[in-house]
Amino acid sequence: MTNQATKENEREEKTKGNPNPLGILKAAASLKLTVVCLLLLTVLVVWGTVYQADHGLYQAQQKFFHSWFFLVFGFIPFPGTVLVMFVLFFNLVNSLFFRLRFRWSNIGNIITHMGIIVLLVGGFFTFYFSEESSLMLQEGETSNMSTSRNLWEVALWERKGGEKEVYAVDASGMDTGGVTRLDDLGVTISVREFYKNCTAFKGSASDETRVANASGIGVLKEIPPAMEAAENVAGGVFDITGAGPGSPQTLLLYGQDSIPTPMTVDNRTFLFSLRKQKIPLPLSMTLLDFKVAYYPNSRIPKSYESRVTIKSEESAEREVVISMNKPLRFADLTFFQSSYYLAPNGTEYTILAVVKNFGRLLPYFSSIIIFLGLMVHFIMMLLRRRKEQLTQNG
Amino acid sequence: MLTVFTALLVFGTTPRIHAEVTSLDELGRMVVLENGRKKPLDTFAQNILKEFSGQGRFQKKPAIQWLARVLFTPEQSYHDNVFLITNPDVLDSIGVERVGKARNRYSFLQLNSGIDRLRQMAFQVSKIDDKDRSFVDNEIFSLYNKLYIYRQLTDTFSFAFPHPDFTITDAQIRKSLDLPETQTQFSFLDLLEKKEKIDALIDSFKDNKEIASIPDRMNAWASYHKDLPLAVIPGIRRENESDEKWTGPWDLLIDAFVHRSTPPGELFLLRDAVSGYRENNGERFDAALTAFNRAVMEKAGDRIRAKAISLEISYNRLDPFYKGKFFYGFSVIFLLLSFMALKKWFYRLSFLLLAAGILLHLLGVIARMIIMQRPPVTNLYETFVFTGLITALLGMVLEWFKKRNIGILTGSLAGLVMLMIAGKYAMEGDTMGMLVAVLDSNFWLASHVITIILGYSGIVLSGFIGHVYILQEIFKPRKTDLLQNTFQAVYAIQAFGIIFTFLGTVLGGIWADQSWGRFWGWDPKENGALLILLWSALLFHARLAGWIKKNGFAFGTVIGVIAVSLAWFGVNLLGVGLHSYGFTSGVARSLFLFITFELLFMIVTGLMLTTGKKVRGAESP
Repeated sequence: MTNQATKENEREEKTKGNPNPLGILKAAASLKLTVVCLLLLTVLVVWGTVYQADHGLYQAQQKFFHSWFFLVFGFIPFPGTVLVMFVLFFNLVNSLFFRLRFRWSNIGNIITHMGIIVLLVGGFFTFYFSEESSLMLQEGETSNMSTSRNLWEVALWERKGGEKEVYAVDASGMDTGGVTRLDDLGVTISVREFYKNCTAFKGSASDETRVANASGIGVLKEIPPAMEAAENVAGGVFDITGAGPGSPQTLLLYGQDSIPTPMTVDNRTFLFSLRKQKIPLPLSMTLLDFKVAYYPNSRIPKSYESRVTIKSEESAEREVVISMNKPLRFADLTFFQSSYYLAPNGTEYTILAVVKNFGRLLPYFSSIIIFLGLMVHFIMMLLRRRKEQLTQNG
Repeated sequence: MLTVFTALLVFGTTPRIHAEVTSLDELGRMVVLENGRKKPLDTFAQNILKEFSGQGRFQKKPAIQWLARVLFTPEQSYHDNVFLITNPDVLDSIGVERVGKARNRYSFLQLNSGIDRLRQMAFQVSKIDDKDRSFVDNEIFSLYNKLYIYRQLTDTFSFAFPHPDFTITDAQIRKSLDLPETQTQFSFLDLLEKKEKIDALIDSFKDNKEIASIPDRMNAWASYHKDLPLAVIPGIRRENESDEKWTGPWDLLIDAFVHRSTPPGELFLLRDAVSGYRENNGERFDAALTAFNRAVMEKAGDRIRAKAISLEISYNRLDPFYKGKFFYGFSVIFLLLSFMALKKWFYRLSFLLLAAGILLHLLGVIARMIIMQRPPVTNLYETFVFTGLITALLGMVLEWFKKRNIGILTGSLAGLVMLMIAGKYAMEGDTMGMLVAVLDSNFWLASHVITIILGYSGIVLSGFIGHVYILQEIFKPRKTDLLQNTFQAVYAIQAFGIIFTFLGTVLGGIWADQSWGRFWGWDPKENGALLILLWSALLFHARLAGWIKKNGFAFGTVIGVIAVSLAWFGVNLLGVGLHSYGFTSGVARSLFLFITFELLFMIVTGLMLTTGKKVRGAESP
């Protein structure tokens, strides 16, 4: 191993000495860069884990693991995990091209690092393209929509009997001054205030104009984000204007409004609600039965399972059991038994996590590749060592 | 809860009986269903004694002997010093006099005077949030719970104890009730058996206060003794296994009392056993319990795996992890002796002791797997046991090939340390718990947990040898051959460690993907494993880049051991919060001491190495 180390060094020295158009790429292949990246990741992992004790998992993820960089003490920038991962990725790809020697003796090493590239690509897909939502069903209830865990939307629909057509405006990026025009309805929504997490009070602020809210809420007060993003309750105050003349009406929506707020715009009455985003599913699911089993004479849960029927346009109706460690895979979605809720009146609800992940299989492939590579490398290392010893002794 | 306590205290006035039944094997075989698991009473006795006293034996005798006293002749157990108090402040606060050492064991009688204050304080503590409880708060709370459980146990078989409450002095009444003529005090069950006759007699003996008061007393007893422990009688078989319910003797009796039905036959067998024990009649005791155990087996059918129960009793007798510590310990001692004299013989003895320790260790692990029908690792306790086994095994393999002492030294030490840590965790109760739903997958437990432990074992052993390498660099810097050999071991075992840590981490991710729908979530436990991986990868790359030399690599492996300890314990501490005390504070303190020790080791050896080099540099022109 020592020999190899010195060889690698020599090679690096050479590349440094060569003024070459590929110089920058070769520099990006530097082993020292790898070490720096690994060191940064180590620091980030420790820091981000300790941070969780006080701030919860979600905030730690946002600050350390899902970020390009963050500020220490409010002014010193520190690279976030996303940035380090990208640098490490380019470092790896470059070292495969410029630094690693393609020889049989090095085959394990090369396989391993190719596997790590696949792993990083998988992480990239998961990070940017996976969607996670949840589906809560009461026994006997049917649904074809799942609900986002932490993204909100302003939903509005006309008060009519029978089926309703719901319009939804994404509230995840809402900020004061934002304007959304719904041309189909002739309704314009302008954001006066929007809070990611807030509490609500009855009555009205003294100098404000009266706001409409069916639950009787008059004032929203912003509070710091909750430990877990799903626990945040959004709220906002909006100006609603119609296509025709007339002054805007002010609407207050709170994430925990008990009923939607009606408002008449251009003689049409709409119902407004601020709710977690609804995501249409390619199937409809009915919960037949939810069961928690305990070990005898104890409160240690043995299993949770939901018996459901699923129906879609392409496939016939069928019965499925979803339980812990036995998810349902359907199209590109996976349904997991995530939790349950027992209402005070005895009604059982199941809570399923619904996940769409394009890169789902990449970690599987990559881990097989990496493990094979590591094993080959390890065994060859041992064999080489043995040979060296034999020649020394002989 | 409080009423039961006072009722129990009234009871402690019966005359002392001296009974000692020689064989408790049948009692140990009695099956009790606790926390979802059917286990022999022998195991229950050990666990509860460990919880109370921090030791699995009492006065060097098996725990079941102590439990038999508690159950059958409670008065005798009042003097047993089984309640471990680690912080004497607890005694001061409940007004009980300190005896002997600060950390000492007390008897029920000694603590009894403070029980009212203890109850009040425990009630106050119960209102404090877990995180904000002080060390003393926690100990008060746990002491109260222990005494509460103890009192419940002393009353578990009280239905079979003759008691002044059930006195019948009138010989005529005794005769008409078919009760033994020589006895005047009877037990609850004795009278329950004659309940109909008693009810009929009351009218004809209106003036006899004793007999007139019996129904009321029985009522009082029945309402006091609800929900007592020891579910030893299986319920009626239901189709769905999760609906299975076992019952304690008192609950069955109360049921029979309320519904005016005949109590099940098992209770009479238990009464016989109690009488046998109290009358020092071993034959009667054994016969009754044999019949009881047979009746339970018949009732439960295939819901009890009789072989597993027998195996568990043998496992308790063998106590492999306790004895294993001695094998590993003596292996180290003889290895050290071999440096001084009789080199060859002591070396061989040391190697044999390591091998014997591993064999015992392995037997214990296999027995647990058969008993639980699970892969070897299902909880924190077992992670230490299994890591100990793997490190010792790796050490032996290393020794087999290299014969340089280092395999024995590090293997035995690692095995010893791991078993010692495991022993501490065994004090928390049953080490064979049932698995919560999310972990209930033998396939993933077997693949993920075992690989990750193989990985951690590699990193730990590599770090252990890393210590040795550093010391050799200081004290034997000229033996290049020796140094080369040791370094190769450090390097190869580190490589072994990173491979399996990687595989284990990825398998964990895949398990998480299968059960929660995400491969990775930056959860502390996952981060712990990632930290170890990153650090190990960092070492290899830094060595390749020439940033660190052999010494640096060895120091790095020592830091790797710290990383493993953080991933193992630190992560659990995080969840509880920074202001937590009690048991976890013990862990936090040990962890802190360990890390301090390692840092000091690195600073001191680091200084010695740098100054040593200067000296050496000066010597050689």
